[in-house]
Amino acid sequence: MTKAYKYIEELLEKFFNGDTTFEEERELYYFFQQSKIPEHLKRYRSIFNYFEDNISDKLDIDLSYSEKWQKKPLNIKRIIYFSGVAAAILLIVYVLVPFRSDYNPYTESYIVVNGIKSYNIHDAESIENEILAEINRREAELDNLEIEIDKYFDIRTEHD
Amino acid sequence: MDKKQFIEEVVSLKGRLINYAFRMLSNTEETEDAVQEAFMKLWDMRYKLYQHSNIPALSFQVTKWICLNTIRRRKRHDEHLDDIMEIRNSTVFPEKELNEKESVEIINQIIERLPDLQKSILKMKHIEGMDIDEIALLTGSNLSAIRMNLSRARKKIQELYFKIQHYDKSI
Repeated sequence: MTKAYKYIEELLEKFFNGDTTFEEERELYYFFQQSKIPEHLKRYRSIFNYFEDNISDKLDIDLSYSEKWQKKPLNIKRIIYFSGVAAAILLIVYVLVPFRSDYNPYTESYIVVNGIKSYNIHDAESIENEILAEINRREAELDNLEIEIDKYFDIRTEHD
Repeated sequence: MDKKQFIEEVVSLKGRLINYAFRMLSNTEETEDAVQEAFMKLWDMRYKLYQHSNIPALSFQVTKWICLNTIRRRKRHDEHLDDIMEIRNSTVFPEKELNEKESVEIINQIIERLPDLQKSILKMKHIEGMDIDEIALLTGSNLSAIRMNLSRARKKIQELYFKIQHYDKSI
């Protein structure tokens, strides 16, 4: 009997050192289920009963915290709330900023004329006028072309 | 995600995660433990990992969270004594030996206070039925590191449980 307990004591030491195999652990669980256990080993009984029967109840629940890293579902109310806040801020900026007397939306803007940067607004205006004139000229040409095409098809239709 | 995919896609990040954790912790042992724990948490999430568009980013996020927890834990002193008093005070002890239900409740509370890494190892060993080699493989750790943490967890349960029993009997 003493020899048998000596073996259990060795297994206990291995168990608490993390060295037991599954087979050895099963031997320990079985031993502590028995009704006759020497006095000095009785105090281990609850621990091994716990490892055998109750640990899964505890750890299965406890470790479900991994959900913390799961993607959270979209919270529509939250999105609407923050969208509203963002819209309000934009509205305030839009309404208030243009009324500042020193406000110039073109500050730091520049144009490049023949490869040279110019911050002079008059340069920009003259170039803008030239571009607009060119656009008007092209538009007029297109209008003329359109008229010519219409005329051409009208003639074709009359012939047909 | 199965074991093979987990090792290829997650455990392969070990070197980068170690560097990242070490920058936060500046301690080799804590860094090893933090990364080991991160792999265990990620393994726990294995069925949902593919829902994440960026598994490496998630792995870094989990590691960061664990490192921050580690830093927070450093501030705790006299942990054992506080734990024993807290557990004892939260349970009504009869003068006779603890019954089965009370013992389960006490050991639950002791496990509650174990570091997450040790809880994860207990889970992999006692619930998922993995042996030390498998746990080491999935966490990119060596056998002795896993064995040491398993041993620490079991010894802590034993130590605190015996202390509480002794305290109870001395009333």
